[in-house]
Amino acid sequence: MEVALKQRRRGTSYWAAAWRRFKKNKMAVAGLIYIIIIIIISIFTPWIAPYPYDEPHYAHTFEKPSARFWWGTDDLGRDMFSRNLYAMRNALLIGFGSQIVVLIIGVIIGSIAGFRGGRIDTILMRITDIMYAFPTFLFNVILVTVMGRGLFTILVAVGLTGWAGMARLVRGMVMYLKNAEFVEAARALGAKEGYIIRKYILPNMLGPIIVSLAFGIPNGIWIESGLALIGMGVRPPMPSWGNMIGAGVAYIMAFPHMVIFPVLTFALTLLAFTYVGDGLRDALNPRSEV
Amino acid sequence: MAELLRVNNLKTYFDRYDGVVKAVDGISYKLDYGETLAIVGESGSGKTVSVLSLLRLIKRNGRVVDGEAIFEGKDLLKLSKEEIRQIRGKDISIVFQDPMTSLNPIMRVGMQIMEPILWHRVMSDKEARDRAVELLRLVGIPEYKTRVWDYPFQFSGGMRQRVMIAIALACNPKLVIADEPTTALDVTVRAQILNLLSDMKEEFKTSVILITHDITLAMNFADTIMVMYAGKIAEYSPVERFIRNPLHPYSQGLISSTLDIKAKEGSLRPIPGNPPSLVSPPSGCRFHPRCVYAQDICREQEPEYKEVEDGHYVACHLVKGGKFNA
Repeated sequence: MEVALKQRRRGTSYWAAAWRRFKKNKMAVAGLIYIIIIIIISIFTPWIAPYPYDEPHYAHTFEKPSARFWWGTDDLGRDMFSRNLYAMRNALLIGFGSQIVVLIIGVIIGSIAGFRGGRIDTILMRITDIMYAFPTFLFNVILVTVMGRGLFTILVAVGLTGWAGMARLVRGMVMYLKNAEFVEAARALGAKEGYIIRKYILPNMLGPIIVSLAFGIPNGIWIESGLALIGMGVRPPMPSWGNMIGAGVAYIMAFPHMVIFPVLTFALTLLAFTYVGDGLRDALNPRSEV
Repeated sequence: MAELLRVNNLKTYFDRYDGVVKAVDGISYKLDYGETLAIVGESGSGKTVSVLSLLRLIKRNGRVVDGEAIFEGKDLLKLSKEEIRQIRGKDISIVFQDPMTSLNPIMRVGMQIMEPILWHRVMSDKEARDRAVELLRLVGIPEYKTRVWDYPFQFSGGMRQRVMIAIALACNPKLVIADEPTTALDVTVRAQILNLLSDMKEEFKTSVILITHDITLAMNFADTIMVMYAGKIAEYSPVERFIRNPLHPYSQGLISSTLDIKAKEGSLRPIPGNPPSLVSPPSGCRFHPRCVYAQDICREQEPEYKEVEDGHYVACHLVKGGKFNA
């Protein structure tokens, strides 16, 4: 059946139409290009970075940007450019990784609640409400304190506190879709339940889930940096935008390069993800214009 | 003509917080091969529920309490889930009311036409694809060869209903149930869709059950008319006889409450009141609170559903000897 569809991929496919709508949004495209570039850089960071992130040069502390140290050095003479690359890498890792955790928990809880309904739905949704109401940042601090300050534990902590929205989204869509008229129609024409879930319910949920994830990534990055800023992030000397900005703020008048570069890359990355999320939201709506 | 479907004493009830809704309360009828039966009635009279019960598509709080539905020798109400699934779409298929929401928004229409064929393994992938194109041609979609790989949002309402009809016909079913197929459409498109339905009926030699609340439409389109009121059959008759001599006061009311362009002023007489609650239906004849001819017996005794002429059934105390005597 899938084969039959693929052989005739002319005309406009759902994804081709979505891509055409996405391309109209210039900021989203710029954001996407930026994100692709930083992802490639992050994969090859150990080979691209001119210095290791923790190598001090005591003769070159607080140096301004130069040919040797492109973005200058910090209070221990460590290369700001290299540290920024590693910070970006950590941020992306936590941004994407936390959303994988969100996706797994949110989709499982949301679809069980939506499909089963009744008492199970009530119980799961009250738990979700508690998660939603709990101050996320505080909960993160607690989790990181309990689980330790590694990259992976922060990633899990951010995911564990962020799934409530996804669970609600998935539950709502499942509840609508399982009784949607076109699902009823498929059932009336002899579709099997498994086929309905695979071909009718899941694909129709995909768009909103992708959009939610796209907005979740910058949120994860934001929380990671926030934790680092108050000293609860990854352990030094491992750099994070949060602890770099925190350290740089102390010298902002004398050595502004120490804060400008991390703040700029941080802000640009968040903006890029947000614009891409915006673009996706407009593009992935099957009811919007062609 | 040979008999395709016989429904005996079908009862479908819904459990609700305030009691049991007797949506369909003991109806019996038959349908021959190639026959068109129109089920007419107001909203909530049990038209749709009566046919959805046949395919066991009733929602969880509803249940078929009693009755049998013999389709080609098999009782649909006693088949296993898998057996009934194999009948859905293959032998009996449905055209739904609202074409705007009854198609999967992210699947090409051609694929949606192919789906029932492939679910029931009627033919191979390649044949199914040719059939999808052919069906789209038959239902009158222009540029069907390219349109077949478009998405539903690229079609208008009338076109989507044509696609729905193509999907329903995909497996050459013996019975097509059209559940108010024109209600959601523009008036200008309605006639087209109905003509298409009759053409397709000729082309595919299928039986049709047309559910509608429009009695003039039913009289133009059907071979047999079944008027339902409050979960029961009020009148069941071949269409010529029904037009000549509608016996049940409710049928007469339905006819006189439709607009006729040639009619004299004052001839439009709506039926007073509203359909009754099906949790606690009126005593005796369920129509008596709205019936202008109601007498004591109507309040006390439920009328018997009986044959008054050949093939003409009525449930009314006031019909005697094939005539309505008020």
